[in-house]
Amino acid sequence: MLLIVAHRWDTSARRLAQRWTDAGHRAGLLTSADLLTPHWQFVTGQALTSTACIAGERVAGEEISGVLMRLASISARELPELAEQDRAYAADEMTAFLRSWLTELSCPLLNRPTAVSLAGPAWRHERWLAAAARIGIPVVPLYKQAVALGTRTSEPATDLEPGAQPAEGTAQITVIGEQCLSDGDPSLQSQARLLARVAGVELVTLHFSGAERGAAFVAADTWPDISANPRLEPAVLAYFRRLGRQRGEQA
Amino acid sequence: MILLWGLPGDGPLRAVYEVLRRRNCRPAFLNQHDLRHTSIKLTVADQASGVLSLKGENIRLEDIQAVYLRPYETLSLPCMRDLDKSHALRQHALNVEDLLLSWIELTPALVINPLEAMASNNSKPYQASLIQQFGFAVPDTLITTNPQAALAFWQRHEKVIYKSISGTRSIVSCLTEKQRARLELVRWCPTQFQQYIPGDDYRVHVVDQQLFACHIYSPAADYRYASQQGASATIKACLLPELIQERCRLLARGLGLLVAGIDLRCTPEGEWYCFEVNPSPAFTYFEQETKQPISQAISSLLVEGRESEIYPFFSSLSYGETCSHENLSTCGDEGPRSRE
Repeated sequence: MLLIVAHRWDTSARRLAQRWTDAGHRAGLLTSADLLTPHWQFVTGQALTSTACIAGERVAGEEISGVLMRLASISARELPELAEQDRAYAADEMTAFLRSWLTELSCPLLNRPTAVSLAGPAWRHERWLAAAARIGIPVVPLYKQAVALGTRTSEPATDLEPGAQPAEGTAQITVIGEQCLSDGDPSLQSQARLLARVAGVELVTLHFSGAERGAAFVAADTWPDISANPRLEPAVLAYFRRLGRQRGEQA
Repeated sequence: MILLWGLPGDGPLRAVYEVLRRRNCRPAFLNQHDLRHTSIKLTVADQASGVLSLKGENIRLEDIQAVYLRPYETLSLPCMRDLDKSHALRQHALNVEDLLLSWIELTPALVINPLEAMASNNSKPYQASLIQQFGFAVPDTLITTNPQAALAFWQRHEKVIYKSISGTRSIVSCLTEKQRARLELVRWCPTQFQQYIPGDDYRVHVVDQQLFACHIYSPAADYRYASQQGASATIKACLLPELIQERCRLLARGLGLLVAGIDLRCTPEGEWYCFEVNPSPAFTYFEQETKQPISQAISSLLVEGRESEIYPFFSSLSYGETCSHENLSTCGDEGPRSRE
């Protein structure tokens, strides 16, 4: 079974799961609603024999052949069934549980949960920028500031308000494992693969200022909208098949 | 320049601050109560540079050689409560926090502890899988929403405890007949059950290469809440077997932690279990009980960098027992109290 782990309100993820099912794949969407069912059993160290509840169906851990991660953590507002005072605690418990269970699965995950996020390393924009610069990719230095209240300043305005997303570049390169989906210069593709490896992610869309050699890195998105890129969906499926075969052979 | 970040009332931070002051180090203290007077400018390219202003005192970020982090969640601070999302102080405080965290992720300065390294503690079973790689045993663990599965696990192990899965602090409690009927409630949230491990508790504070171990005598399931469970806890400095010491060092290092509080239990058969690695240990309680110089060790680490050898671990023995715990049954008068 191919698994998509997403927020309840992620309609894009829901549509993707349905498309995979319609295409003949056994696929399911896992949301917080599934964690509120009395079916889950996980003995740590034995994820293959665990029992999960996916879209209302009981599934053994060994049946899961690939996981697409679409959320960083479960939030309290996803648990309206619970008493309000319990939601934050339950959300934290569910997130912690998923981190443990998912990392023990033997199937490929895009992206593999880390200690920080269920959906990969969760780097801040600044960290992507610095990493890109350190491996030789041109970047535009970023300037930010937080000024003490009541202080007047003649400093230039912040380039980017904290919390705001950087603008998308004019060229995008999506990396899935060792594969690049891009019409950009081959040198950009090499840089993109290297940056993804440095960041420890298997799936990322990197934005550059242009498609030509020497273009500057702009931003990274580890949650690319698969439905928005017609080449991405088959690439993801092929990734799961390829990694699944390799791990089967190793076993 | 050494930077401390947190609240002045925080025990560990205060202890380290006082040691640094006595050493004439003049650390900078980013007081979370003074956020409205704090400014930060950050420029990021291949490096992160900028200026941190604390009540008018400007500090170049590049001049900060070491940081000791113990910040409380910004929105939980008393000055933040009841503030509207658009309130200037709230927005400013979150901005300061965001920029500081960005800088901390990129700085070459020594950081106690790196943010990513601390995050493993947010999922106990996830951390346990890492702990096992360093040779420690971990209890059999079931996480379930199935009341029948919980019951079967209990029957198999006869005695089990339950505790939180996440970093949310919980009181470790034994499952009793009184809770049997409440097992139905697990369907509403994954719940963690573990086999009960009998034995003696140890707390090991690792500061870079230095170890400060203490033996905790308490019949309570969770010695931290012994009084609530009708028991007491006695703490004494001790010397661990060399193998266990090395495992602790490797474990802390393997988790990326320069300072760690490691919770161990040694069974009557001499098997060592590790329950948790605390990435931001509140060590002052143990320091007060044992007189182990933990705050001095952390201060030295901040001032001199890694692999400081000014306070070798055995210096803690002058204040506590010297019993070797290779075999607990030979400990004599300092042996553990009997368990239930």
